[in-house]
Amino acid sequence: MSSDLAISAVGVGKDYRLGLSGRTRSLAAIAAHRARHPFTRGLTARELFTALDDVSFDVARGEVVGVVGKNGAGKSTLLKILSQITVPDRGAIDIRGRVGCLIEVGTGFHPELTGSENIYLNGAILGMKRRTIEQRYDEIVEFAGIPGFLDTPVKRYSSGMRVRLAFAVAAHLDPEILVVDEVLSVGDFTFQAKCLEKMRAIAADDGRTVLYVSHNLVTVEHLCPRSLLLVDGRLAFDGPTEETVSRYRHTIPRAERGAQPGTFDLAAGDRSGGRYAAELFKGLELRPRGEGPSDTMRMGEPLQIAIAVEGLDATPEANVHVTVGSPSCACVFRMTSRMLPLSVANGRRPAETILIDIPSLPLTPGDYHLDVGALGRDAVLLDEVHRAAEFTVVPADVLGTGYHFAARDGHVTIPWTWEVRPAESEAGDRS
Amino acid sequence: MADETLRTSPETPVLRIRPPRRWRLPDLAGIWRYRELLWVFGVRDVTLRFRQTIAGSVWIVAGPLLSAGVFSFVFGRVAKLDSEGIPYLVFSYAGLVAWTAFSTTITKASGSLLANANVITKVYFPRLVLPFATVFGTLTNLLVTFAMLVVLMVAYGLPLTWHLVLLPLTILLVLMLGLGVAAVLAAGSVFFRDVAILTPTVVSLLLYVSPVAYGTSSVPADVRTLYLLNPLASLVELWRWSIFGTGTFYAWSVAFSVVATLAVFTVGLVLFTRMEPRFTDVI
Repeated sequence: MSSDLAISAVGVGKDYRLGLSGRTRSLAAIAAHRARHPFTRGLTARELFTALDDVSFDVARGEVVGVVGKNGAGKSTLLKILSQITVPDRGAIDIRGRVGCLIEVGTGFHPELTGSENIYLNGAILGMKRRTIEQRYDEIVEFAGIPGFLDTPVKRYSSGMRVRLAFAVAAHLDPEILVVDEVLSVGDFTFQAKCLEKMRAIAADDGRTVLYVSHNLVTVEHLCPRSLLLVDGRLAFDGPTEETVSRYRHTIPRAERGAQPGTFDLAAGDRSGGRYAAELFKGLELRPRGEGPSDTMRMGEPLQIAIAVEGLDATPEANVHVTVGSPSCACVFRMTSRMLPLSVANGRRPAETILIDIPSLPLTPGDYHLDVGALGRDAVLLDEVHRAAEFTVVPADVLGTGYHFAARDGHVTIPWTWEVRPAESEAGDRS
Repeated sequence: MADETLRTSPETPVLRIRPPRRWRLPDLAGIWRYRELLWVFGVRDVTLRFRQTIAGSVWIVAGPLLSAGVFSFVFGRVAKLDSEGIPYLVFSYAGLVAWTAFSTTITKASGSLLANANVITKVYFPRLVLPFATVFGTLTNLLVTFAMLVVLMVAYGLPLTWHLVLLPLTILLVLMLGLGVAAVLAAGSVFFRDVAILTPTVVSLLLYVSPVAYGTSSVPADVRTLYLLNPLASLVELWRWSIFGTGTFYAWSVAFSVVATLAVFTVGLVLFTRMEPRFTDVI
């Protein structure tokens, strides 16, 4: 292996056993199974699920590489193999340097131990030497920002404090190769921003190798110049993140997304939130700039949302609501017909289209989704579709100042003006 | 920026990840590399035991002492078994000290993988660290219960002899036997929870076929050979011999126990290592 490579993987594959043989089994169940199938010794192909197949890639030292793919595409399996948590069934991986993994912050925290005891425990579990922890103890405590609670058992911590302490330990781990999996899904917005910043610093300033897995494509684009795309356990693409992400978007089946980007079939939407009286919502289209449907739009552009409904005329008093959410915020803003009644053009019909016009999209760049729902009389949920639509907002110079908004600036921005004048008391004197 | 912070050099050893061979030697070197984690896990278990308790270490002694009291009534007074000239309470308590070391090794070490399932699925370290780390707690227990034994012996005016030099070796053998059995039980319980349920019952039954509450001298001669096939039997006798200088064992039975212990320890660790790669996938 060349010495400027941090990771070299060749033909890596892993299978999981499904069904009877995969679950935690009781001896009785095994005995019964053996009795019924006395002559089958090995597993049949159907009982094996190939989580990873023939994955090969190299990562150079100091490189930051993203890994994207749908749930079950094999991202976590790959990371678990790289961090030796589980073993591959095929292939070979050579790794040069110490691997630190952040599969979940706070791994091994024990609720009965105090904060300071847990720093040592967690550090040791993550592979830190006691002396290293002692040397960096003050830094860790400062990063966590909970000085008054170090002698308190962690069970009395708020979940926020726990996460802060856990990330503080992990951030001072200093491995040559850092493997990170979805840790940013925990914690509040400021905390996520802080973690991202820290990871960027680890890669940029210290020249360490980072492998980052996330569903949050914006953070992947932000952090990683290069990304791997996994589809059904195979490496479908390896290249610039921009292209990886665009290919990833195309791997999502049409059924989930509608016939073309920006159109969504709500008849097949996620109605797992409850049992609903009707299926009012049929389809949804996002029309940025007043043009044809698209799921990518610029910040500040006009956006029209067209929702196809059937049977809404039967309950004209229904409160229709559309909620815009993001991965870190369930409700960025909502629009309901109680806030602003629907205006009806040309009388009610069984099949109708609700047209929402937003003159200027206030959302900052990132991934967003729409939930739609309708409440009938007595707050009965008539119909509700979670994640009825998903879309991405890309940066634009909305203020005309050359400033590009990012996740750190919050989810929305609003038009505003400000100016500096002489102190008002002085102005009063002059007039 | 580069050279101080970038610790990776061409000399950095390369970690080679390959599909594991089915049969491998136990990763004892790995346990040594992770000795700090071993220590931290061990200390954690000892510290945790007495969190939010009032009497703390009193409870370590109270259990065996109560059992010894009951045993000296049942076996000493009711069944009138011979205690080789030692007051029955001290005799059975001494047996219980060794027995408790053995049984806590089994129960703690065999449960150690399931108890730390959340860590196993999230971080890599040699999994043998977990059962081995429980030895810290067992040794702490042993120290406290043994101190109590010394108190009892002083109170009854029993002398300690030069036989005591064999005590550390006996303890080592008892722990190795326990760890060998527990390694298989720990690994087995990951795949079959039945093992975890059955373990305490079997261990508590083992107490009665070991010379804990009575001496091997009380075992009828015709079944004694069979009785001594329990490797723990001679170890407990050896243990009491190094304390009181009395006991019934034979050269063959001691040799058998030592060989059996080493075999159980080795086979236990090898089987553990055989099952280790699948822990994360099924736990």
